[in-house]
Amino acid sequence: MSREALGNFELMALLAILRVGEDAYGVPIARELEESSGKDVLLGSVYAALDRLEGKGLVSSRVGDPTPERGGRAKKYVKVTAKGVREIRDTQRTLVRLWRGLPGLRGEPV
Amino acid sequence: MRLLQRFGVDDALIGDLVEQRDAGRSRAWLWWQLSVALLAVVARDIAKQPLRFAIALLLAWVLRYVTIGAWSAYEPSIDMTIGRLFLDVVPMSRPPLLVAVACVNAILLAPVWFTIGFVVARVSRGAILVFLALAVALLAPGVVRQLAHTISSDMVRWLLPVQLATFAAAMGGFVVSAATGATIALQRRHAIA
Repeated sequence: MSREALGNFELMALLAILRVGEDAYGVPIARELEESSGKDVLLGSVYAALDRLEGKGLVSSRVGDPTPERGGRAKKYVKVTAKGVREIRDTQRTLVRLWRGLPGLRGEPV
Repeated sequence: MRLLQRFGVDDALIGDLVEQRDAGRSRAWLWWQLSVALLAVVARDIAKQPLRFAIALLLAWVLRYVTIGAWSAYEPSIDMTIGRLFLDVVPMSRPPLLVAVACVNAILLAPVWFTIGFVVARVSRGAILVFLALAVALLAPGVVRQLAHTISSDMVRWLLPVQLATFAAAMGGFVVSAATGATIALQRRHAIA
Protein backbone atom coordinates (compact mmCIF):
# COMPACT_ATOMS: atom_id res chain seq x y z
CA MET A 1 0.00 0.00 0.00
CA SER A 2 1.32 3.48 -0.80
CA ARG A 3 2.36 5.91 1.90
CA GLU A 4 -0.62 8.16 1.20
CA ALA A 5 -3.68 6.04 1.90
CA LEU A 6 -6.85 6.49 -0.10
CA GLY A 7 -9.64 8.38 1.58
CA ASN A 8 -13.05 6.78 1.82
CA PHE A 9 -14.61 9.15 -0.70
CA GLU A 10 -11.64 8.84 -3.03
CA LEU A 11 -11.96 5.05 -3.03
CA MET A 12 -15.68 5.37 -3.71
CA ALA A 13 -14.97 7.78 -6.57
CA LEU A 14 -12.44 5.38 -8.11
CA LEU A 15 -14.94 2.52 -7.96
CA ALA A 16 -17.68 4.75 -9.40
CA ILE A 17 -15.39 5.69 -12.31
CA LEU A 18 -14.79 2.00 -13.03
CA ARG A 19 -18.52 1.27 -12.87
CA VAL A 20 -19.43 4.15 -15.22
CA GLY A 21 -16.76 3.13 -17.73
CA GLU A 22 -15.71 5.11 -20.79
CA ASP A 23 -18.13 8.01 -20.28
CA ALA A 24 -17.07 8.82 -16.75
CA TYR A 25 -17.33 12.52 -15.99
CA GLY A 26 -18.68 14.55 -13.07
CA VAL A 27 -22.44 13.97 -13.46
CA PRO A 28 -22.53 10.16 -13.98
CA ILE A 29 -19.87 9.65 -11.31
CA ALA A 30 -21.93 11.69 -8.82
CA ARG A 31 -25.09 9.78 -9.87
CA GLU A 32 -23.35 6.45 -9.37
CA LEU A 33 -22.18 7.53 -5.92
CA GLU A 34 -25.68 8.77 -5.02
CA GLU A 35 -27.31 5.52 -6.14
CA SER A 36 -24.78 3.39 -4.29
CA SER A 37 -24.74 5.36 -1.04
CA GLY A 38 -28.32 6.63 -1.05
CA LYS A 39 -27.00 10.06 -0.10
CA ASP A 40 -26.77 13.36 -1.96
CA VAL A 41 -23.36 13.94 -3.47
CA LEU A 42 -21.92 17.37 -4.19
CA LEU A 43 -20.40 17.80 -7.61
CA GLY A 44 -17.79 20.09 -6.03
CA SER A 45 -16.71 17.23 -3.75
CA VAL A 46 -16.46 14.87 -6.71
CA TYR A 47 -14.24 17.33 -8.59
CA ALA A 48 -12.10 17.95 -5.51
CA ALA A 49 -11.63 14.18 -5.11
CA LEU A 50 -10.83 13.79 -8.82
CA ASP A 51 -8.23 16.57 -8.52
CA ARG A 52 -6.58 14.80 -5.61
CA LEU A 53 -6.69 11.43 -7.38
CA GLU A 54 -5.17 12.97 -10.50
CA GLY A 55 -2.46 14.54 -8.36
CA LYS A 56 -1.65 11.10 -6.97
CA GLY A 57 -1.58 9.65 -10.49
CA LEU A 58 -4.52 7.33 -9.81
CA VAL A 59 -6.75 8.79 -12.53
CA SER A 60 -6.05 10.52 -15.82
CA SER A 61 -8.33 13.01 -17.53
CA ARG A 62 -9.07 14.28 -21.00
CA VAL A 63 -11.23 17.19 -22.04
CA GLY A 64 -14.07 16.50 -24.49
CA ASP A 65 -15.59 18.88 -27.00
CA PRO A 66 -17.57 21.89 -25.77
CA THR A 67 -21.32 21.40 -26.22
CA PRO A 68 -24.12 24.00 -26.36
CA GLU A 69 -26.26 22.19 -23.74
CA ARG A 70 -23.43 22.75 -21.27
CA GLY A 71 -23.19 26.46 -22.06
CA GLY A 72 -20.29 25.83 -24.44
CA ARG A 73 -18.26 24.02 -21.80
CA ALA A 74 -16.46 20.73 -22.30
CA LYS A 75 -16.80 17.58 -20.23
CA LYS A 76 -13.78 16.34 -18.34
CA TYR A 77 -13.61 12.59 -18.82
CA VAL A 78 -11.64 10.57 -16.32
CA LYS A 79 -10.35 7.02 -16.22
CA VAL A 80 -8.54 5.01 -13.61
CA THR A 81 -4.86 4.47 -14.36
CA ALA A 82 -2.98 1.19 -13.87
CA LYS A 83 -1.57 2.67 -10.65
CA GLY A 84 -5.14 3.47 -9.59
CA VAL A 85 -6.27 -0.11 -10.18
CA ARG A 86 -3.31 -1.38 -8.12
CA GLU A 87 -4.20 1.04 -5.34
CA ILE A 88 -7.83 -0.17 -5.33
CA ARG A 89 -6.68 -3.80 -5.07
CA ASP A 90 -4.22 -2.96 -2.29
CA THR A 91 -6.90 -1.10 -0.37
CA GLN A 92 -9.37 -3.94 -0.86
CA ARG A 93 -6.81 -6.48 0.42
CA THR A 94 -6.07 -4.31 3.46
CA LEU A 95 -9.73 -3.85 4.25
CA VAL A 96 -10.51 -7.55 3.84
CA ARG A 97 -7.60 -8.42 6.17
CA LEU A 98 -8.88 -5.96 8.74
CA TRP A 99 -12.40 -7.34 8.40
CA ARG A 100 -11.31 -10.91 9.11
CA GLY A 101 -11.86 -12.07 12.64
CA LEU A 102 -14.67 -9.62 13.19
CA PRO A 103 -17.71 -11.92 13.02
CA GLY A 104 -19.87 -9.19 14.52
CA LEU A 105 -19.31 -7.24 11.31
CA ARG A 106 -19.80 -10.36 9.18
CA GLY A 107 -16.15 -10.26 8.30
CA GLU A 108 -15.74 -13.98 8.31
CA PRO A 109 -18.00 -17.00 8.53
CA VAL A 110 -17.50 -18.51 11.97
CA MET B 1 -21.60 31.22 -13.72
CA ARG B 2 -19.11 33.77 -15.04
CA LEU B 3 -18.35 34.79 -11.46
CA LEU B 4 -17.61 31.16 -10.59
CA GLN B 5 -15.25 30.93 -13.52
CA ARG B 6 -13.42 34.04 -12.38
CA PHE B 7 -13.07 32.63 -8.90
CA GLY B 8 -11.38 29.59 -10.39
CA VAL B 9 -14.14 26.97 -10.33
CA ASP B 10 -13.34 24.19 -12.81
CA ASP B 11 -14.94 24.90 -16.20
CA ALA B 12 -16.07 21.28 -16.53
CA LEU B 13 -17.82 21.51 -13.14
CA ILE B 14 -19.65 24.66 -14.28
CA GLY B 15 -20.67 22.76 -17.43
CA ASP B 16 -21.98 19.89 -15.28
CA LEU B 17 -24.03 22.35 -13.23
CA VAL B 18 -25.48 23.94 -16.40
CA GLU B 19 -26.34 20.43 -17.68
CA GLN B 20 -28.05 19.53 -14.41
CA ARG B 21 -29.95 22.82 -14.27
CA ASP B 22 -31.34 22.14 -17.74
CA ALA B 23 -32.13 18.56 -16.71
CA GLY B 24 -34.58 19.99 -14.18
CA ARG B 25 -32.65 20.19 -10.92
CA SER B 26 -34.17 22.68 -8.46
CA ARG B 27 -32.86 26.17 -7.92
CA ALA B 28 -32.06 25.32 -4.29
CA TRP B 29 -30.00 22.32 -5.41
CA LEU B 30 -28.10 24.52 -7.87
CA TRP B 31 -27.37 27.25 -5.31
CA TRP B 32 -26.18 24.67 -2.80
CA GLN B 33 -23.86 23.09 -5.37
CA LEU B 34 -22.58 26.53 -6.49
CA SER B 35 -21.87 27.65 -2.92
CA VAL B 36 -19.96 24.49 -2.08
CA ALA B 37 -18.00 24.65 -5.35
CA LEU B 38 -16.99 28.22 -4.51
CA LEU B 39 -16.07 27.33 -0.94
CA ALA B 40 -13.99 24.39 -2.18
CA VAL B 41 -12.02 26.71 -4.46
CA VAL B 42 -11.47 29.19 -1.65
CA ALA B 43 -10.28 26.41 0.67
CA ARG B 44 -7.93 25.07 -2.03
CA ASP B 45 -6.51 28.56 -2.63
CA ILE B 46 -5.93 29.09 1.06
CA ALA B 47 -4.29 25.69 1.45
CA LYS B 48 -2.02 26.35 -1.55
CA GLN B 49 -0.90 29.83 -0.51
CA PRO B 50 -1.65 30.40 3.17
CA LEU B 51 0.82 33.28 3.53
CA ARG B 52 -0.65 35.21 0.60
CA PHE B 53 -4.10 34.62 2.04
CA ALA B 54 -3.05 35.92 5.47
CA ILE B 55 -1.35 38.99 3.96
CA ALA B 56 -4.39 39.77 1.79
CA LEU B 57 -6.80 39.41 4.69
CA LEU B 58 -4.62 41.59 6.91
CA LEU B 59 -4.31 44.17 4.13
CA ALA B 60 -8.10 44.19 3.66
CA TRP B 61 -8.65 44.66 7.37
CA VAL B 62 -6.10 47.49 7.69
CA LEU B 63 -7.54 49.31 4.66
CA ARG B 64 -11.07 48.92 6.02
CA TYR B 65 -10.02 50.07 9.48
CA VAL B 66 -8.22 53.16 8.11
CA THR B 67 -11.16 53.99 5.82
CA ILE B 68 -13.76 53.68 8.56
CA GLY B 69 -11.55 55.65 10.95
CA ALA B 70 -11.09 58.52 8.50
CA TRP B 71 -14.73 58.43 7.44
CA SER B 72 -16.03 58.45 11.02
CA ALA B 73 -13.94 61.56 11.82
CA TYR B 74 -15.61 63.57 9.06
CA GLU B 75 -18.97 61.80 8.74
CA PRO B 76 -21.09 64.23 10.82
CA SER B 77 -19.97 67.25 8.81
CA ILE B 78 -20.25 65.32 5.51
CA ASP B 79 -23.79 64.22 6.43
CA MET B 80 -24.75 67.78 7.38
CA THR B 81 -23.45 69.13 4.10
CA ILE B 82 -25.22 66.44 2.05
CA GLY B 83 -28.42 67.00 4.01
CA ARG B 84 -28.30 70.77 3.44
CA LEU B 85 -27.64 70.29 -0.28
CA PHE B 86 -30.63 67.94 -0.53
CA LEU B 87 -32.91 70.33 1.31
CA ASP B 88 -31.79 73.21 -0.92
CA VAL B 89 -32.87 71.22 -3.98
CA VAL B 90 -35.90 69.26 -2.73
CA PRO B 91 -37.64 70.04 0.53
CA MET B 92 -38.27 66.70 2.26
CA SER B 93 -39.12 65.30 5.67
CA ARG B 94 -36.57 63.66 7.96
CA PRO B 95 -37.04 59.93 7.07
CA PRO B 96 -36.44 60.22 3.30
CA LEU B 97 -33.62 62.67 3.98
CA LEU B 98 -31.87 60.09 6.22
CA VAL B 99 -32.21 57.42 3.53
CA ALA B 100 -30.97 59.80 0.83
CA VAL B 101 -27.93 60.74 2.93
CA ALA B 102 -27.18 57.01 3.55
CA CYS B 103 -27.37 56.34 -0.20
CA VAL B 104 -24.98 59.23 -0.95
CA ASN B 105 -22.61 57.91 1.75
CA ALA B 106 -22.67 54.49 0.08
CA ILE B 107 -21.89 56.09 -3.27
CA LEU B 108 -19.04 58.17 -1.80
CA LEU B 109 -17.53 55.10 -0.15
CA ALA B 110 -18.02 52.83 -3.16
CA PRO B 111 -14.68 53.68 -4.83
CA VAL B 112 -12.84 52.84 -1.59
CA TRP B 113 -14.58 49.45 -1.18
CA PHE B 114 -14.06 48.81 -4.89
CA THR B 115 -10.32 49.48 -4.53
CA ILE B 116 -10.05 47.23 -1.48
CA GLY B 117 -11.85 44.45 -3.36
CA PHE B 118 -9.60 44.92 -6.39
CA VAL B 119 -6.31 45.01 -4.45
CA VAL B 120 -7.15 42.13 -2.11
CA ALA B 121 -8.41 39.87 -4.92
CA ARG B 122 -5.16 40.49 -6.80
CA VAL B 123 -3.21 39.19 -3.81
CA SER B 124 -5.46 36.24 -2.90
CA ARG B 125 -8.67 35.10 -4.56
CA GLY B 126 -9.97 33.37 -1.45
CA ALA B 127 -9.22 36.27 0.89
CA ILE B 128 -11.80 38.60 -0.63
CA LEU B 129 -14.67 36.18 0.01
CA VAL B 130 -13.48 35.50 3.55
CA PHE B 131 -13.06 39.26 4.14
CA LEU B 132 -16.59 40.04 2.90
CA ALA B 133 -18.11 37.21 4.93
CA LEU B 134 -16.21 38.25 8.08
CA ALA B 135 -17.02 41.95 7.70
CA VAL B 136 -20.74 41.24 7.24
CA ALA B 137 -20.73 38.68 10.07
CA LEU B 138 -19.10 41.20 12.43
CA LEU B 139 -21.55 43.96 11.49
CA ALA B 140 -24.63 41.75 11.62
CA PRO B 141 -25.04 41.48 15.43
CA GLY B 142 -24.97 45.28 15.84
CA VAL B 143 -27.50 45.71 13.05
CA VAL B 144 -29.79 43.04 14.51
CA ARG B 145 -29.50 44.63 17.99
CA GLN B 146 -30.44 48.07 16.65
CA LEU B 147 -33.35 46.68 14.64
CA ALA B 148 -34.57 44.69 17.65
CA HIS B 149 -34.41 47.83 19.78
CA THR B 150 -36.38 49.80 17.18
CA ILE B 151 -39.03 47.08 16.88
CA SER B 152 -39.46 46.78 20.65
CA SER B 153 -39.82 50.51 21.29
CA ASP B 154 -43.18 52.20 20.61
CA MET B 155 -41.43 55.58 20.41
CA VAL B 156 -39.14 54.79 17.51
CA ARG B 157 -40.86 51.87 15.74
CA TRP B 158 -41.79 54.20 12.90
CA LEU B 159 -38.04 54.43 12.15
CA LEU B 160 -37.81 50.75 11.17
CA PRO B 161 -38.20 51.17 7.37
CA VAL B 162 -35.70 54.06 7.46
CA GLN B 163 -33.21 51.97 9.43
CA LEU B 164 -33.66 49.00 7.09
CA ALA B 165 -33.08 51.23 4.06
CA THR B 166 -29.96 52.87 5.54
CA PHE B 167 -28.46 49.51 6.58
CA ALA B 168 -29.23 48.09 3.15
CA ALA B 169 -27.53 51.08 1.51
CA ALA B 170 -24.43 50.82 3.71
CA MET B 171 -23.97 47.03 3.68
CA GLY B 172 -25.18 46.57 0.11
CA GLY B 173 -22.86 49.35 -1.08
CA PHE B 174 -19.94 47.74 0.72
CA VAL B 175 -20.54 44.18 -0.54
CA VAL B 176 -21.46 45.13 -4.11
CA SER B 177 -18.57 47.60 -4.53
CA ALA B 178 -15.93 45.29 -3.05
CA ALA B 179 -17.23 42.26 -5.00
CA THR B 180 -17.24 44.29 -8.23
CA GLY B 181 -13.64 45.37 -7.61
CA ALA B 182 -12.66 41.75 -6.94
CA THR B 183 -14.47 40.47 -10.02
CA ILE B 184 -12.72 42.99 -12.26
CA ALA B 185 -9.35 42.16 -10.68
CA LEU B 186 -9.94 38.44 -11.27
CA GLN B 187 -11.06 39.09 -14.84
CA ARG B 188 -7.79 40.90 -15.47
CA ARG B 189 -5.82 38.10 -13.81
CA HIS B 190 -7.71 35.58 -15.96
CA ALA B 191 -6.97 37.61 -19.10
CA ILE B 192 -3.27 37.89 -18.22
CA ALA B 193 -3.10 34.14 -17.48
